[in-house]
Amino acid sequence: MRYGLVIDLRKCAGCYSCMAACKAENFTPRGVFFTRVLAEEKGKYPNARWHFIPIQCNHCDNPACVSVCPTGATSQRDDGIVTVDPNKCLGCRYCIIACPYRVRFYVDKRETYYQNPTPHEVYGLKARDYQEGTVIKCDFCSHRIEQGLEPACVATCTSHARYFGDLDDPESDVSRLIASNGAYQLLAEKGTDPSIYYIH
Amino acid sequence: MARAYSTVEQFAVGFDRQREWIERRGLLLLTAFYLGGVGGGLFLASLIIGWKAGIPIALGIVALGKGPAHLLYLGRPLRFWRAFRRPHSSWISRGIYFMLLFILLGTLYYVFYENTALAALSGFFAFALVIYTGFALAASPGIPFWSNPLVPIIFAGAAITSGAALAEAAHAINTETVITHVERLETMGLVMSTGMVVLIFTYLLGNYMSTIAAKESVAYLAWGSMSFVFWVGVVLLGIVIPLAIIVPAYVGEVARGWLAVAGISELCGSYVLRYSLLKAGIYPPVI
Ligand code: SF4
Ligand code: SF4
Ligand code: SF4
Repeated sequence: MRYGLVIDLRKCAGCYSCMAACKAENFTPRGVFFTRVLAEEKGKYPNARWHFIPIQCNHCDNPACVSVCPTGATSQRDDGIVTVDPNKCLGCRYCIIACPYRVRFYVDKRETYYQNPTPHEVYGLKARDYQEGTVIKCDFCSHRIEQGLEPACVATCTSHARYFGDLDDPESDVSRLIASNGAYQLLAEKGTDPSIYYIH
Repeated sequence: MARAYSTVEQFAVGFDRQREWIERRGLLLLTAFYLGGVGGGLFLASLIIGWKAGIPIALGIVALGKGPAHLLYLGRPLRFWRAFRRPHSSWISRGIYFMLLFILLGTLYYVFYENTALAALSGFFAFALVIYTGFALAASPGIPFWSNPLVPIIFAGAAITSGAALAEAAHAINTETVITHVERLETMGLVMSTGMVVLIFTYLLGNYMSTIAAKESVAYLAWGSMSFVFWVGVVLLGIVIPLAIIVPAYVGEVARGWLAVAGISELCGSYVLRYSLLKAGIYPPVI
């Protein structure tokens, strides 16, 4: 079992819904976006076009963040999901340095967006154990997976550009999409073997 | 606020500079790397030149400088003991062991000064201490400028050069300093400083000719927004001034005061060298 994601960039509309859904689902602190949609302008006028690429932790099969972590706070589960144990992290940030994808965040101070936090933020402060002085990141919404649900970014995607499933199962949607569309991984040359594939 | 990048960098496709290990509290980590290098380098230099008083100074720099600076950098300093757990894979864990073994064996060597086995063992851990920071950087696949086999050699070389420079400055300032092989001091300074010139040039040239991100790092240092710091700090203070004094001293005589200037200038340059290397850690665009 190895959870993975396929993102079909041909369908991605750059609507940022995945980013918003992730934020709402995971109550991430101010300034932190586990899922981000990068934007790039390609081509020249009059043929210039926006190109969007959603990124998040790739839950790499050979994660650079795991091997460098001196405490074992960052580890990989049997289903491939890479997690951070907030009670073990000492905030050395070596994992942030090692990850080529810039998808880890150091929580210096856990701040809300509003001086008087919204009820959603108040709930989030209790619901998520984001400790100050530690590193946090996407965990593929493992709390939702345990309930048989898809990650929030996948469930929300307005264009149905995101597919979630088992990369080890050749019959899964994700495996078939990868096989039939020549899907690629980001910075594959880094040797991290990401579990997120992109179709262009 | 939880922070990693500026808002623009977070959402744009492009190069991204590492900040965690150089900005704000990251300067404490830089200082820890530097003090570890100077302390370990001074210990090795003291072994080579036979300067007994240099040993407790080296141990003090590491124990009272490097150790606390590391602790102050951590987000959760009270959990530092957890970092002992993964020496099989993490250079930070290994570094902690190197530091503790260096302090322990170095202290024993100071007590049993003539013991050659202790000299060899403590020297080994001093070397491990000065080189491991380079390996820690080289183990980061995300940053091509660091992911380079010359990085550990540069860190070790800079450390030993700084150790020799500190001994040189101490010897120049205090005429009472007892050094058994004082003639080795100038040779060491000359060889190490010249070696560092070759090493840094090869490293920068090699990076310039490799990946786009490594090239970007070199450009950032050599003619980008870090160029003033690089040319004045690394080249002028760390290389040109020390060599302009050491070479005449080697072939003839110079006033002791100038040797102190060379040593202090090198020590400043060595700090800026590490600062520059950390600052120029640039990630390539993800696509
Ligand atoms: S994307 Fe980065 S944080 Fe996520 S598993 Fe890979 S190396 Fe680790
Ligand atoms: S910051 Fe935390 S999770 Fe990251 S390497 Fe250090 S201890 Fe591990
Ligand atoms: S929700 Fe879907 S369509 Fe919208 S930005 Fe995210 S991946 Fe693209």
